[in-house]
Amino acid sequence: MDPVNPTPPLTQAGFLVLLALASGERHGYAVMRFAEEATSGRVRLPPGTLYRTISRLLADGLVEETEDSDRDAPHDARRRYYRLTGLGRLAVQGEADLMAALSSAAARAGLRRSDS
Amino acid sequence: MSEQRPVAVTPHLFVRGAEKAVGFYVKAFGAAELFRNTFPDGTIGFVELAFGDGRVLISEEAPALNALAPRTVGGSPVMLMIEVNDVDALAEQAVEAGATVEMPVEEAFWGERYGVLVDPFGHRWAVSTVREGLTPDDITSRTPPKI
Repeated sequence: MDPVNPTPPLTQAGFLVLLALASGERHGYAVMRFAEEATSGRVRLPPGTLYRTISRLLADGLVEETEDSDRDAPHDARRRYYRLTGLGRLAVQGEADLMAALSSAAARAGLRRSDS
Repeated sequence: MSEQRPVAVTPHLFVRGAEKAVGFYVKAFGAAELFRNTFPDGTIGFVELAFGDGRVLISEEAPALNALAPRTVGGSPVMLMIEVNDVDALAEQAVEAGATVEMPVEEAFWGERYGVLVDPFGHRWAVSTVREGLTPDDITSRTPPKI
């Protein structure tokens, strides 16, 4: 793996899912609601996007399904519970740090809106 | 952003033996299965695989839909390229999983380490990594006189 970036790269949807899980485990539907609230409705994670994003994060070892999931329910990411792995926490922390640095750079470049 | 601006281009591969092919792409190239659609009789409609940020769809060959696998048409006119940090390790992993080497991995004049593999289902894959970060002028001056 890339020594500068020890965690797999994240899409915007992937970052939002990890961010939603940073404060504790949630089911997929709560992740969808979190994304909408955290971005004031600018970014939505419709079920198809959510399902693919979580499949990807599971494959990369950034999230895991918890034992609370209803295994008998139809396979639907909205009804299953997920939590961060250690690698997932590292990835979301790294991305948040990078975004903070970029946000500061944007402010120094005069891009900060007066209302934010 | 214009509504006509494409978001991505996603190859759709037809194979004989979609289940085995998906297993091969996961093992050989580290693809991640994102989604699968299966008909009631068990035939795979399509499987969506992620290769890094890229996606590839895999379906069972269906001659009625003119969806033909490379073995049926006698080859493939398309090459799919995977970009990766360690191209030698990826090629080795793919060969171990059943790919054959068409062109061994070597330094290419355009500044990449590059090779070509053929998978067990007849699709051709280039594997590549950026090495030298050449400028377009560098590449032009290093281009051989003919293929």
